[in-house]
Amino acid sequence: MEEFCGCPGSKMQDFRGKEEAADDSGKPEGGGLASDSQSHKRASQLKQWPIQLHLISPMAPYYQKADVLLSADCVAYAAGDFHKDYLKGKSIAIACPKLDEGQEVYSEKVQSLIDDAKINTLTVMTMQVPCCAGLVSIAQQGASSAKRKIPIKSIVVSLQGEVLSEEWVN
Amino acid sequence: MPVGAKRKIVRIDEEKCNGCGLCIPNCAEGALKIIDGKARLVSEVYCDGLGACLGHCPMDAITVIKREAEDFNEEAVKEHLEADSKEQTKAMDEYLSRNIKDIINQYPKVGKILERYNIGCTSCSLGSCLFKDIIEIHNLAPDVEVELMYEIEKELFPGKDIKKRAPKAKAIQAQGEIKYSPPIKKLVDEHVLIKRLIALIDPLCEYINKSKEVDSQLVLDCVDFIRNYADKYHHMKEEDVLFKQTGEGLDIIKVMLEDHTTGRNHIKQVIEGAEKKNKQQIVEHIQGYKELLTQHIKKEDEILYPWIDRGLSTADVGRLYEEFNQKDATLPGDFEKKYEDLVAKVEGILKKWR
Repeated sequence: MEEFCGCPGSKMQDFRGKEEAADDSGKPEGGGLASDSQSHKRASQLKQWPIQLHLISPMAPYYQKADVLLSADCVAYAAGDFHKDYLKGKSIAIACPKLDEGQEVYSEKVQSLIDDAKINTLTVMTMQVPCCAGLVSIAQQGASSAKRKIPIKSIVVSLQGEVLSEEWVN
Repeated sequence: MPVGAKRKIVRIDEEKCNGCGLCIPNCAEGALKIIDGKARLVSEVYCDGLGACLGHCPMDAITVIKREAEDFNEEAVKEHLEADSKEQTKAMDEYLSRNIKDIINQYPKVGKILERYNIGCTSCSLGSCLFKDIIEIHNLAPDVEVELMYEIEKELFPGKDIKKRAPKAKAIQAQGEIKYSPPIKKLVDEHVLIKRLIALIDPLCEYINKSKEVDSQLVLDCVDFIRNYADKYHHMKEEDVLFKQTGEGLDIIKVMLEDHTTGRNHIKQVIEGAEKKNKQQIVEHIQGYKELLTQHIKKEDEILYPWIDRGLSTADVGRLYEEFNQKDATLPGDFEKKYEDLVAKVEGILKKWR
C-alpha cells in the first residue's frame, strides 16, 4: 500500500457523519421553500479524500462494504446533478482510461475494493466517447480476478450530461 | 327564486327523451344530468342557451326556447364543474382501491379492455392486485396509462362525461425487453433448469401410464430435483431473502407463498403415489404441480420480478446479491452440476423409451 506521508494532497480524510450539518447549511434561511433562490448553496456529497484511483487506498474506512462509484474524470463536469443523483450515498474513485499512466494498477485496485473492502456494488460512470469505455473494461477485469462477486452497473453520460444508458453489466 | 329577463334556454321534451345520455358530455357547463331515466336541466343558471347539446340528441328531444329564466352564471358553472370533477375523482378513487378481480366480475368489459392492453387480469389466477397497482405492476408508459384509465373510467361510469386524467406515471421505464438486475437474473436463470424438468412431466406421465409397473426410481429422481433444486435451492432464496426485502405482507407475495405450499402438497402426494405404485395418484399430482409451476414461473419472470426490480436501489441490489451468494455457499460446490446432470439423465431415459 502506498503511503504518501506528509503530503496533504493524498492524506486520507473521512467526512462522513458531517452529513447533517452540511445539509442544513445548504438550506436558505427561514425554511426550504426558496430552493432555487440565489442564496441556496448545494452541499457537497463528497465524504472522503483522496478520490483519484492512484491515490485511494481500498483499506480506507469509507470503502468498507460501500456502494462505490468509479467515475471517469469528465463525468462530474458533464452531469449537472452529479452530486445529488450519483455521488450521494456512495464512495468514489475517479480515473481517466485514456490519459492516465500506470493503469495496470487500476484493475488491481478494483479487485482489492471487491475482495478486501468487500464493497457492496460498483457503479462505473463514463462519457459517451468510445475511449471512455476502457474504464468499464478495467472494472470488469478487476472483478473477474476477484474472488467475491458483486453487481456492476454501467452508466453512460452524453456530452450534455444526459444519461444515455444505465445497465447491469455482469 | 329570482327570475331574470326572458332569454334563450334549453327545453327537454320528457316524452321524447329516452335517457341515452348522449347530450351530457356535449354540455360544457355540465348542466344536464340523467335523473330517473330522463335528461334534466340541473339548474337554469348553468345553461347558456347555446344549444351545443341539441345536435347530439337522437330523439330530437332538446330545443332552445326563449323564456323567463335565471341568468346564466359563469361563476356558478365553474364551481359546479369543479365540484362535479372532484366528486368524479372521488368515485374513481374508490374503484382504484378495490380489487381488480371484483371490478371485472361486476364489469366484465373492463377485463376485455385490460386484455386489449395485454394485461391478463381475467386469466391471472393471482387476482390479488388492487386496481391502482395495475399500472405500476405492469409498468405501463404514461400515454398508455392515460388511455387505459380513460377507457375503464368510461366503462365504470356510463353516461358520464369522462375526461382523460393526467398520468400518475408510476411506471419507471418504457416497455421492451425485460432487463433484470444481477440477483434477480440469478433467479430467472434458475427457472430455466426448472422449466426443463417441467417439460419432462408430460412424457413422464405417458411413460408411467404405459409401463406395466411404476418406475418409482424415475419418479423419485424428479421429486429429488423438485424438492432440492426447485424448492430448497431456488425457493429458499425467495422466501428467506427476496420476499423479506419486499415484505411478506403484500398480497402478491402471499399468493406466491401459497403457490409454494400448494406445490409442496402436490409433491407429497406424488411421493405417496410412488411408494404405493399408484399410477393415478402420481399422474394427477405431478400434472397439478406442472400446471401450478408453469403459471407461477411465468408470473414471476414477467410481472413480479420486474416489479420488484424496479423498486430496488443500487445498494439493495448489492445486498440481495451478497445474501443469495451466502445462501448458495451453504450448499455443496457441485450442487448445481448435480441437478443439471439429473435433468439430463431423466431427459435421456424418456427419449430412449420413446
